[in-house]
Amino acid sequence: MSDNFYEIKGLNKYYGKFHALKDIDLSIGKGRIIGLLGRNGAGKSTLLRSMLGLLRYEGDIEYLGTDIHKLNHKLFEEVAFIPDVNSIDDRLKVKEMIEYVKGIHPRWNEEQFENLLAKSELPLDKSIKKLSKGMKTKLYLLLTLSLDTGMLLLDEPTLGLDIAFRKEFLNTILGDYFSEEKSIIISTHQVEEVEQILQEIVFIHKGKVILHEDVEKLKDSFRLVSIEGDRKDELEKAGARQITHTFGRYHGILPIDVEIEGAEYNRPGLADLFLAFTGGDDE
Amino acid sequence: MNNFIIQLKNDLRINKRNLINPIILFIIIDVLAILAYFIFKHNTGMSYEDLMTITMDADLGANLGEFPRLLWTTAGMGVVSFVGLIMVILSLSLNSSALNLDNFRKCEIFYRSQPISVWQYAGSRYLVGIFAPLAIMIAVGLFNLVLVIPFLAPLVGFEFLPSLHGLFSSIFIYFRSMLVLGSLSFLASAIFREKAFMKMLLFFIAVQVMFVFAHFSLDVPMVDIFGYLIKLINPLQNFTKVSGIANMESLDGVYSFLSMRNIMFNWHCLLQVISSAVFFVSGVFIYSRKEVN
Repeated sequence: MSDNFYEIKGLNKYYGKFHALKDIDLSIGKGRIIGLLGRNGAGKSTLLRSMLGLLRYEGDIEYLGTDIHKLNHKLFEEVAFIPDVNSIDDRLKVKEMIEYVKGIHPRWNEEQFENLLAKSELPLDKSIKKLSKGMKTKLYLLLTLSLDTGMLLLDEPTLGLDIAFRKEFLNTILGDYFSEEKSIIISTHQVEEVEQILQEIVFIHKGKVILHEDVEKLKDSFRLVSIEGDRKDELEKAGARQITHTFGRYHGILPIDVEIEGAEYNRPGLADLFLAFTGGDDE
Repeated sequence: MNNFIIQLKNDLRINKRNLINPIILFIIIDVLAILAYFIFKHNTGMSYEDLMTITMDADLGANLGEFPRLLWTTAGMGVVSFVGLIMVILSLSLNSSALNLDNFRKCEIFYRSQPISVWQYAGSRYLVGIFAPLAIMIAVGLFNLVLVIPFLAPLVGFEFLPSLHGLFSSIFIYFRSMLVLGSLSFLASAIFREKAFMKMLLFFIAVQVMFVFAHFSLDVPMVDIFGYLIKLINPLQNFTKVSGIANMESLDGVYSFLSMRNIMFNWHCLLQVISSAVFFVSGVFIYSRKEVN
């Protein structure tokens, strides 16, 4: 059996003539929390859906050494998924939906469910149709995190949640779910929110994985350099990426070993690094 | 199997309203019919018994010795007639949204990312679309028959077996149409994202028009698609002709008409079952190859 949960090789996905995923190679190990960062339309959701076999693609995707097509629906006993749209069936009541997932999923963990239910304050007898967007997201999270699956794929999981529950979800709930035998992939635009919990980061740009790195190692390899307003050319000469101008000073990202005299150095955030790697424009 | 039962239970829940509404409609119709009877009785001073006596005294050319059995057989058939028609429409409607409604309601990805095989998932939808209307037809038919008993029984005495024979013959005749039409619309729901049955109908019309053009311009033999379809759907297609059946002159004639051979054990019925199975399997196969949006 493979040491990695996922092995993706030469993954390509076309929507008609549009090349949505380009030659993606990716390994997802065990016990990792991985961030998937990219602009709108970069291919994050397409990648996650391909990993679940929900889309047709070219290339190989293996889960624990087995082609996901061979696993078929059994894959969903191992991998839980929250899509980026609120896709829960609103024709049911909350308790009916819980009953459905509980009955159909062999990895349902009742104790985990009870804990999460207590935190979520979901009204069990209410029709899902009558829940707010945030409550629907909570219900989806509750259903998904009550499963003892090896992998958890989250595509914008905190959409519609209020700040308090978002914090609780990212700091506590996700932490309770996570273990050395599990891995989580989080695709999000709110990178600052998840930055603290991520161990690895994948930058995806125009359908290509342009970086897959350990977060700490990445942050240790670059610095956010700040310099006075009249010294922009020095930044450019040093090869700084993503040069911006705020409050009379120029800022840019430079490799850790590049020194500019009199400059201020700070540890970059993932958002800075992402912009530095993708060029900071829409092209 | 367990997953299939859970899926089935879920599908019954999400179709609860679609299944209950026709039952409410039939109850309203029954209540109105009873109300109409009492209003008629009150206004004319005549009772149902008087009317029946007048009818029975008239010379129908029928053998009145057979009349009670004949009456109960036709009553059994009659109580299902409207219900059957509505249930065929319900089955068509349920099946034409069986596989595409989730996409419309944006919950397809939720169901498709559950650990249940697409065959079980689609099979459950199909079963609800075909057998839930059948169950309603049987239940409402029986209920209607029970309702008719107090009105007819004092006149001619209740005949249990003929009434059930008529009832289930009628149910089975409707079911055969329901099976083919339901399965065809199930296939349509796998192909088209919305308004599936209408789109499939348009497709057939387009193909038919092409055949007509080909026939008149290229002298290609005419293919009558709708003719074939109607023959396939029509449960009476292979019924053996029985003389005197139109006037219900003879009980033997009626029973020959409603024989097991006519209703169940014939090539046309087998063809209907096989074509329905082909429509179902093709539908699931097409659906399983589709991407989830």
